[in-house]
Amino acid sequence: MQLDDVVSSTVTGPRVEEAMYRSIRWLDRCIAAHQRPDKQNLFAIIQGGLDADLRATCLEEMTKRDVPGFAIGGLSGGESKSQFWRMVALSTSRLPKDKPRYLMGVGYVVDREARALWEVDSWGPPTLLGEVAFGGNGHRSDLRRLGRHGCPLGAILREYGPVWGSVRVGRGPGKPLRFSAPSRHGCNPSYATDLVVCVALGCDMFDCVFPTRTARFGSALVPTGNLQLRKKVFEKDFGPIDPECTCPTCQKHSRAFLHALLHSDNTAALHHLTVHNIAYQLQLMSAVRTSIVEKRFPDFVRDFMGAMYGDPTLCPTWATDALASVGITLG
Amino acid sequence: MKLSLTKVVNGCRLGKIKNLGKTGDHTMDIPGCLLYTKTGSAPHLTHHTLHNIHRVPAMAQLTLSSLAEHHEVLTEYKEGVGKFIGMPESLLYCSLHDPVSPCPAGYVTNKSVSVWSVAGRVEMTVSKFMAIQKALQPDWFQCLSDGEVSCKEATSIKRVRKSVDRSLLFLDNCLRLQEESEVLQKSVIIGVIEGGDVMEERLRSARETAKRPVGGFLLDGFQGNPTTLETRLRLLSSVTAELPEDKPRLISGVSRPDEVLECIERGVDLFESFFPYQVTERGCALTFSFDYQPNPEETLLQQNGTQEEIKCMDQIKKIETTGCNQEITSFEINLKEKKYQEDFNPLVRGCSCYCCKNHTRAYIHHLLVTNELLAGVLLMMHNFEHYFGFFHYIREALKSDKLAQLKELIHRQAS
Repeated sequence: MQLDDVVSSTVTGPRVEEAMYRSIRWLDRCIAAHQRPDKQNLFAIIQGGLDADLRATCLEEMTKRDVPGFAIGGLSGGESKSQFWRMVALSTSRLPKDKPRYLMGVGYVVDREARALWEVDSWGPPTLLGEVAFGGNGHRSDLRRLGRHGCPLGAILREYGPVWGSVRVGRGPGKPLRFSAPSRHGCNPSYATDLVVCVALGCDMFDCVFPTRTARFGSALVPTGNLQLRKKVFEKDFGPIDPECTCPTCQKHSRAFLHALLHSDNTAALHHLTVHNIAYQLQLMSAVRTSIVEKRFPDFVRDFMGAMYGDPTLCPTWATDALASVGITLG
Repeated sequence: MKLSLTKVVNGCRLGKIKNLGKTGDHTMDIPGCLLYTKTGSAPHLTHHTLHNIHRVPAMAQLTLSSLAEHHEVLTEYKEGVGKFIGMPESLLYCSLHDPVSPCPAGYVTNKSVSVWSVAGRVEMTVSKFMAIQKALQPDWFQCLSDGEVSCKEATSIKRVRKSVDRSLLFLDNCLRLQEESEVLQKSVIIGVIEGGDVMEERLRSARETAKRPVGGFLLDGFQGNPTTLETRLRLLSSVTAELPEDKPRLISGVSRPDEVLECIERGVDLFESFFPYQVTERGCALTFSFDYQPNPEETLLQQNGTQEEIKCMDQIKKIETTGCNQEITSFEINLKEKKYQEDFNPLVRGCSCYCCKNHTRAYIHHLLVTNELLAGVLLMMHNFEHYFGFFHYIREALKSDKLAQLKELIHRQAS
């Protein structure tokens, strides 16, 4: 990657413009100094912050240079998701179709209101499915109704505090009841969503510290969000992180064992989760690729959002808007 | 379970323990060591990385101090700790304490013993202890015992006597409870020899414990530093002389290469492998030579290396690491030192471990300096492989009557 001048996406004013023009000049100097263009690929990095005009200028200039690929930079800071996707879309729309587009630092998020989603089976204990970004609040009366079904809500309340949320009632015996609740723990519920949406917007490659870092904090990524395995609710959960996952961790170990190991000082726990989170990521991108090749990517996106948010229509607004901009409608 | 001795030379026992485990088809070589684990997992290692190590022992050591707090979970799990931790094929030995973390004294009573976990103190009466073992279902377990004498400095003979009495009482009670449970009968109880530094009490403990139907013996209270072990070696010989030949003798808290050899010469069969873990935690790699018959060129090269290292060892500093305030021994090199920054040799030339086949000292140095978790993974892989290789060479030396050479080689390298 070229040496660039990056400013935080929350910075405004002349500094952003300065950094953008400097990055172009430094790109030229990198190209001139590059001694092994036949062995190493030098990528340009589009800057310009959250200013559409500046970014457009950067795109126009940098695409004049003959580089093997382009990175989209300056977008992994504390910007809102609404600004984020618009800058990604602007960038991909002006980058050549026959060269790779690398979105740098995807999935870093600040201040998301995460809510936990549970599946509550009338005849069994609740299983934490994952943590998910939700929109609004729900109705307390629904919660009381759940309580009467005899599931150990007390345990949930102790762990998570006051609970509220919209309740989807199943249609028939054995259908699980689902409800949401706020989570006290910070997490990024939208990491995988970012990946899928940005693929839709035309990005090819991504990098992020998130999956391995969150693993080291005891969080396992699953299709419905993530599992904070240090939590007491997993103490006696003898199933794997994800029954569909083929990674070594899921083949050999239970949530209960990982929970116990996470509370010890053996770093092996962190390695087990790291392996799983990387496998999750690889599997996700592989599924994305297959769906594109088989010409059913929009359906894939709808299924993905359904698993992550309970219903495709419940996915965050920014994602709905971004997908709509490329002709993918949800529900 | 059957222990067959191939030969006994100078007090060292060479042989095999056959028909081990629930299915009765495992074998262990003696002298040998047990795989050290923390909360049921080799430190730093997943199943995949552990299986990249050669000669991993057939039996792993679990500690009650890391597992007792999970009693309820294991009871509900029902299928035993081996399956729970993902090691269903391994033989398992459950010790009371973790040999790396010393136990605070003052917590043994006539009715209970306490272990110390991350969550705090777990107090166990005989019935609670046996209930926990019922949930764990290990192949072997150390009987509940009073080992406090080794935690304190000067112990009165009264206290020493009490440790022997209590341990025998615990043993008899545990045996009784075992008789009443089909599940517990599938596990073998290891009797614990106590007695501090008092010869009379040591002999009493050995003789009395040997009368009970235990599957083997744990020699407790010999842990400490090399000087304290030296003074206890005579006691050790006298104790093992009282024990039946056809049952295995384990020792707790002794893991250094020089100490291991001393104990083997005095009739000990099995050791814990926490020493390579301690070395790992201080960012060091085991480099001591145990090839007592190398080719002449190799000998010279090693000697030159050793001399350099000895010069640098002139000022042995106390290394503060995660929980191990121990001095670096002369069996290892400290990869944090600047001189390894551009040393592109493997940790040990000729070592067959994954780390030595794929990486350099310079790389490990870099990982340590940048605080990467991978440093621990790679060092643990090397240190375990090196240590297990050492035990293999002990057995080979005994087979070909070359133990004296091996002993001399190790002694030359001990500081």
